[in-house]
Amino acid sequence: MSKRLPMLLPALFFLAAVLSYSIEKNFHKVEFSFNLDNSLYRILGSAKEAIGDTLFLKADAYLHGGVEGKSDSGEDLEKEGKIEEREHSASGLKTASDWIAQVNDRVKVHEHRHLAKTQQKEILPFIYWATELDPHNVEAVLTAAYWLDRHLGQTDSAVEVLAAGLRNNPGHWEIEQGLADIYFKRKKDAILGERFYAKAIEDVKDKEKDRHSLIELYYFLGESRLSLKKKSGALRAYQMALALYAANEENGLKVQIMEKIKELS
Amino acid sequence: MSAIGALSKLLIKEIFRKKDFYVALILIGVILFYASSLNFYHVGNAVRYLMEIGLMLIYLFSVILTVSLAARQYPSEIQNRTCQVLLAKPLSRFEFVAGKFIGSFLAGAASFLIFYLIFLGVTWHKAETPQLFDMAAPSHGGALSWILAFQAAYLFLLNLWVIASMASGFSYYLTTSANVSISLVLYVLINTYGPGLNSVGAQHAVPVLFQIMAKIFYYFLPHFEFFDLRQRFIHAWEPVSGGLLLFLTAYALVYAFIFLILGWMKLEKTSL
Amino acid sequence: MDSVIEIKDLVVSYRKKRALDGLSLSVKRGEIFGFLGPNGAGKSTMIKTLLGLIHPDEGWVRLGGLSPLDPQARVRVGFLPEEANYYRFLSPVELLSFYGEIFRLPVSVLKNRIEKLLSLVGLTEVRNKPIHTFSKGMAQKASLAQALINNPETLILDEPTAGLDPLARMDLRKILTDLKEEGKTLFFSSHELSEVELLCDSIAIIKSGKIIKSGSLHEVLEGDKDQNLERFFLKTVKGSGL
Repeated sequence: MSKRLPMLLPALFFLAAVLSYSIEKNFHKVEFSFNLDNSLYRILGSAKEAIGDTLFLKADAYLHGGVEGKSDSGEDLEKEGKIEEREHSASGLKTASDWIAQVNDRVKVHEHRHLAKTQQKEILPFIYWATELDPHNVEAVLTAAYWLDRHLGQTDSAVEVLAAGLRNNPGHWEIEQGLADIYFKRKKDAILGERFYAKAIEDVKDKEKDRHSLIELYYFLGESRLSLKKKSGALRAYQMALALYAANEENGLKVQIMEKIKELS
Repeated sequence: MSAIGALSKLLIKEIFRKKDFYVALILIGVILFYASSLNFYHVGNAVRYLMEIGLMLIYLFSVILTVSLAARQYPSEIQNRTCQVLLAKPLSRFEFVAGKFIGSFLAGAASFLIFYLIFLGVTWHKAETPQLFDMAAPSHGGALSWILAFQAAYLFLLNLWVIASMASGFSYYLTTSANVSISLVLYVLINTYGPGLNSVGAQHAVPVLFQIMAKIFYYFLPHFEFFDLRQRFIHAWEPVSGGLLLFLTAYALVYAFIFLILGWMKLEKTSL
Repeated sequence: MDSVIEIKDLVVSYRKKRALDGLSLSVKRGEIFGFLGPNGAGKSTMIKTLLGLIHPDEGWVRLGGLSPLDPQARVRVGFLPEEANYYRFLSPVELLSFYGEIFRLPVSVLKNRIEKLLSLVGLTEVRNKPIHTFSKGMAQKASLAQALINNPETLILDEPTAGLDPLARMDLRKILTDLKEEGKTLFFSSHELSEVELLCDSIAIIKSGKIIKSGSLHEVLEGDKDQNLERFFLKTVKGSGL
């Protein structure tokens, strides 16, 4: 028996791994309060969030061809395949001062390139685990929803992510805005769209700092009410949006809002 | 050469007859199998995370197996007194040192290649459109570039060559446990902080002794990060040039020679 | 007869203590030479120096006319250690193949010789079993086989009968006698004085690193009224004052 034990152990380990995968798939069917979040916390402790945040940074690196550095603006994310010099990391390889640094420069990549469309799914595992390990990382939730909805055509998955994000971060207006955008703009569900726009507006805490986002929220609240034929409600929303503009502030959205108000008045 | 070959074959037999290799193989297989079965957000065929996990595991296990094998060769020969019987044969001490090193490297390389084939198989199966003989261009929609697969494997074998020589050379000065600890710690430290040591050495806020140590480590210890091509392989960047491969081969040969000479000098003076 | 082993004024020290102190002897080709002494006398040190495992501090050693530090000196030498410690994961066939390759023996020659040696020592039936499953006696047989793998002209044995039962000792004695008849030179250290008396042509008695008596068995015992090696050894070692 003792001779066979070393052979049995790897087989038992393999079986345990297969079983754990099956158990995890059926977790949601179990009613007692043993949930994934608690088990991960039990295993990882307070490092759970730190690992989650690290994986979120990893997703950003994956988006840039494995190169770590500062994230891009929203516009840059839309560009694919363009190679630029990315801001170098703290290791100081900006100018290769000796032969060792020169070799490292040739082995490692420091250029800036976004994933091609067909490969954008590669960031999903890291985004997934970032949100699982740190459910309060709202940026990870929003990023996941963005990529799923806008680039990968997985709108329903995006809704699931945002809904889970809202459960873990109740009253977070950005998540509510994300849900509202998907329901109204993508799924053409004006009822849910209106509800979430209104909730998001209610939950915006810093009205001065988030003024432009608030303008957008009011505008789309008006749009959703308009598609529900609630003209007076839509007008109120447009007027609220207009009221948030500063006196000398002009942009395309303001012009549109003014036109809408004119039409409805 | 025949004696060196005989010693090398002995070490290859040793690694495949002890449990360590099979434990690593099963762990890698289980983890890769589990990781490849995952689907995130109902989007299939994401493969780079699998490559990241797979390469990290096989690099890690290959280094551990190679270091532990190389580190225990000489001390266990002394402890078990097999060294006396062996060196009573027409075997020079240099042949002994060279045979133990080459055997450790070949055994580690064999383990790595087996792990690597499993990794390539799992990754190829998961990927959508693996590109055969995709020589240069990145992001052509293929998950695997075979030229990069070859380069990554070749450079990692050079990495094993250097780490095997380091552990082998140290084994004539240190006990097995001290050698394994020091070799692995140095390996991780240099891989992680190697490129930054030069800037540490240049910072005046750091005590002078640490500045000197950082400079010494930077210029004299082998830079294992040179042999890590995972970033290029996983993210389908361009392959490295043939000139760089040649340079790194020479670099690895020089360091192996240095460590072996250090080991041989110690053994030559040792009375058994 | 020319000398296969020559040692002159050999001095070997460990931590300022002289393990061998000006030792000189020679072993002629074709003779069986016994090297006797109490524990700690320097017998194993002598054998290790003879095999090039220890560097002498003074004096010189010649093995087949060459310094034992030269690997070529060991091409026609076989060594049977006191304890049979080998690579436990190898079988006898693999062990003999390994050592045969060290000697650069051609494959066909090696294959035949392995079969012959396994038959000679009685390990044919367990040829493919790993050595870690062997008893002490079986391991000693494997040890003897590896000492003979290169068909040596000179065989150096360190306490060859230590730990063997009487039957195994008898088998070994027969093998050693057969080797002598083939013209091989045997040099061995032993505590078993009865074995030495039966086998040896010449002996040397060592104590505290010095040879206190050496010569042919007849010469050494000449003048001793008992003509018994064991009693002579005890008298010599106790009464030497060293």
